Amino acid sequence: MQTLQVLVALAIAPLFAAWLQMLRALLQNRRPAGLLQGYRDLRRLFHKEAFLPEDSSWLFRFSPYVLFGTKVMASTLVPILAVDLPLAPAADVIALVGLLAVARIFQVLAAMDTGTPFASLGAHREMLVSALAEPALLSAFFIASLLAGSTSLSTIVLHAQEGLLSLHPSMVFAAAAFFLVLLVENSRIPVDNPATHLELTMIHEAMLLEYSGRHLALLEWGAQLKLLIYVTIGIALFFPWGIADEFAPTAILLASLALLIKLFVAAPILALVETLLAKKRLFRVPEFATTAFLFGVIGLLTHFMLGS
Amino acid sequence: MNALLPLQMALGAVALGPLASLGSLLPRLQPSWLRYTSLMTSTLMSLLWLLSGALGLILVAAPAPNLAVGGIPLWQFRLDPLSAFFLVVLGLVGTASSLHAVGYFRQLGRTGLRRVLIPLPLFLSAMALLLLADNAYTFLVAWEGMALSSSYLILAQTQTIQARHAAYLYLLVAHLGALCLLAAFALLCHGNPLAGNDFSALAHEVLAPGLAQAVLLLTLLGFGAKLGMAPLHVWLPEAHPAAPSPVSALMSAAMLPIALYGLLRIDWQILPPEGVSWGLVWLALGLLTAGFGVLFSTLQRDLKRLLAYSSMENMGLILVALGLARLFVAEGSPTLAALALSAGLFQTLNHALFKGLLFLGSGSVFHSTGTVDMGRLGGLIRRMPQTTLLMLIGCLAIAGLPPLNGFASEWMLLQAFLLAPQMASGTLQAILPLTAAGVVLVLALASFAIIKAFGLSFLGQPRSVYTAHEASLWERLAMAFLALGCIFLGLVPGFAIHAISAVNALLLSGNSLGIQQPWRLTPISPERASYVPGWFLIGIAMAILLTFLLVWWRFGRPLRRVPVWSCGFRGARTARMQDSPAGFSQSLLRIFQPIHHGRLQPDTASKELRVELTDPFWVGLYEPLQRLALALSRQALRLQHGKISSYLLYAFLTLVVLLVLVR
Repeated sequence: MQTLQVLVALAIAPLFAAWLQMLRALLQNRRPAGLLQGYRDLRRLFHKEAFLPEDSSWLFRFSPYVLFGTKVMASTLVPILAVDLPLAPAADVIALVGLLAVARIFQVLAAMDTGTPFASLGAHREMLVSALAEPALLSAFFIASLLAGSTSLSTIVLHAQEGLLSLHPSMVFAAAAFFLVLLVENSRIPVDNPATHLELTMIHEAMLLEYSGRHLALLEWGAQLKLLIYVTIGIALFFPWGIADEFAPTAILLASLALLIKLFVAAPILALVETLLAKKRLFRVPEFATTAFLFGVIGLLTHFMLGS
Repeated sequence: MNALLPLQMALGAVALGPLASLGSLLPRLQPSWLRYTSLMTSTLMSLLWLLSGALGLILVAAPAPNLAVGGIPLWQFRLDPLSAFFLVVLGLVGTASSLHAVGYFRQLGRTGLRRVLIPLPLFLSAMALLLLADNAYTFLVAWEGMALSSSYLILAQTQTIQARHAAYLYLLVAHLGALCLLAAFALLCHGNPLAGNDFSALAHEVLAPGLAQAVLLLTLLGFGAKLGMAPLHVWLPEAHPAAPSPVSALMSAAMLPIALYGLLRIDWQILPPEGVSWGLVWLALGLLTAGFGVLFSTLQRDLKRLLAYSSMENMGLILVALGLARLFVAEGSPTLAALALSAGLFQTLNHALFKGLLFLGSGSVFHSTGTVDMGRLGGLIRRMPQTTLLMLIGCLAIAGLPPLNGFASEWMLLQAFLLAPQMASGTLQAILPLTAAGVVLVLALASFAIIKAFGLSFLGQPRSVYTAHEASLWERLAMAFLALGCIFLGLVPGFAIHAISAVNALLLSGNSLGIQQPWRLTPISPERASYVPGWFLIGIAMAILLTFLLVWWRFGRPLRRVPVWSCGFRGARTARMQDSPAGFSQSLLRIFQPIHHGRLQPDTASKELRVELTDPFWVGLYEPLQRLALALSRQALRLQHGKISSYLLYAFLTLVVLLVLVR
């Protein structure tokens, strides 16, 4: 069951990214590349030769595997298809945030390892943005776990399924904070532009500049996986209907269907945001992240003021 | 087993310290001989403390026996779980620092060595004596010995004007703190600290409420000054960088926690934590210290200063945890109090491990390159690969990444915050979420600071020309010892929590935190929260290994080294094009400008921008105080005319006043 969930996550991550790209293209009056473009890109990159910059160290070479590995691990912890998976007690939401931080910090270290100006630019921007986004993410999780009385994701989802979370006003703030963090952490448009190169405002792509071949493929796949993980966490917290609470085949099948439908619907929202908003100036980005943090704090206060 | 054995063992080790100091004075000793014998004695002492501390935590049943020596003044000693826990911390850091010092001081001559080796064992002994002290007299003597010996150590290697200024400031603040403590003990012992009442006798006495409040305030000031608590922190970022690195490690990772020990001993055991207000004060001051420390640490250029501010941040977090525990006690929820207290003590232990490691590593960097200026370093991962790996472990641990130890204690602290709403009181409900949000922000900024330190010093290209060499075997051994500790406690956090439960039992009259399995943490119940770092590590390792093998098997082709692409930039690439320390944190400088008033200033000599920072507490608090003191002294100067007749008049008047008053 655990393996199945990981494999499903790995398989649909490129699909979801491609679907998002396709919607964006349609909204911008371009011809979309098709749903399979994600897989085609990965295949092409995996078959290409990988280069190492001349004076990079083992950290540079090692990091893509760490990044990918931690994200795979993260996908085992999120209830994507079912709750109470075997690995679920190993970590709660706080540990999940820590796990994603491991991936981010190795990416930053790998970028700084090359010592190129662009990469270190990306590195310190990433650290800045995430230093402000991580508290926002944690406070959004805090609200949910305070309501559910637990930081275990499975318990939170079970609570949410009984409709005990969604009616609470503080959850509105949590949802707003989480959505903003999702945009920030996955380098979506008002913060970063996932489609750009050679632009002085980029963050995430700047750190990948020196990677090529299979390393780049792992990083790209990892980024898609991270987006999927964030979206599924959002689904699990705020729209948890359909996630299986038993390991029966029908329940799993239903859960998979529900997941596909929810992802299908989630993508247009993201695509709309990315089409309607312009990329912000870099110095505006911290304000954006701070807004998310503020939403989280207000949510926490609301929770305590209104009583649980 | 004899219940006094751990105490006797620890006291024996304390006695070795002065002997080692005297031994360094022997004439005609070879420098290498001097170094090995003295530092091996220090290592032995620290190992003995580690052992006796561990024995004390495991074996000593309450109430711990007391040992008295001498008549008047009376020396009294006791090893209870609280002392034992801090003795373990001291033992760990002391062992590593002594081992590291063997390598670090290898180029010093006899005179230079003596400057270090005479005060160093005394410093260690004074700290251990302080932990074992069981009456006011012993405690204060050890406290003073600790302050004096460490201020000599600050000046052991550099006698620049900055270092002397740092040592002076340190001594000044330490003595102001000591005065507060003396006053506090005088109040506690009804005016006579020499009376020889041991601490448990003091705990049974009932103080007038006003007096108790005064003692709480005085001890907070006295220990806070040593702790680096804002606004008494001004000495800390000056003194730590000035000292030689093994000493910085000792000061930061062992001496600061000892101030926490004092706080727990007097404000918790002797004066039981009642009422909400002092818990709130600790919480607020802790958050202020943590926030201030982390903000300044992100902006530093000097590696050791950055670490010093980070120590301040950690002490602040521990104070937050202890304050939270106090609040829980006041609110009558012992389980949560035990959780918060364990989180604070666990963080103390973790801080000792990783901050010790990082300070020792920065010492190795200094020894190897001659600088700890991050604007000059870079690329050490290729010159000092093993040191870099050990430092990486320390950095990841302090950045709070699972499955290392820093994460485990932070996790417990956050759990304590999340379980808080069970508490009844209304006002706290508004304060606690804000504090929790502040703590989370501090943690995120702390990882920013430490990644800056590691990335700029060890990765990329060297920013200046230097010949770096790998650290000596002794230094690497010491760092590996601490790094293994970080990994071990990260994987089996329950082991540490189990050891801490003895302290909980002492301070909270019964340990109500359930028995923890060594490899998993479940503070209340598995449904509420659980964390199993071992599975975490296995999961990540398996995922990484599988990915690597699969990718290698399917797409493995030899890698090729090519010149960096750098977006197609073809010009000459220089190391100056990387981030400078000011550049890395420029955006943070800009965001938090209203708080710290930092500015970028061009430095004409090296043609680069530097961050110009002034401590707002220095400008806002210390300078007015200084001016006030000077003005008062000028007024006092009026009395002094140099005429013998008026001096006789003063003496006569004083006599009359005294006679009237005393009668």
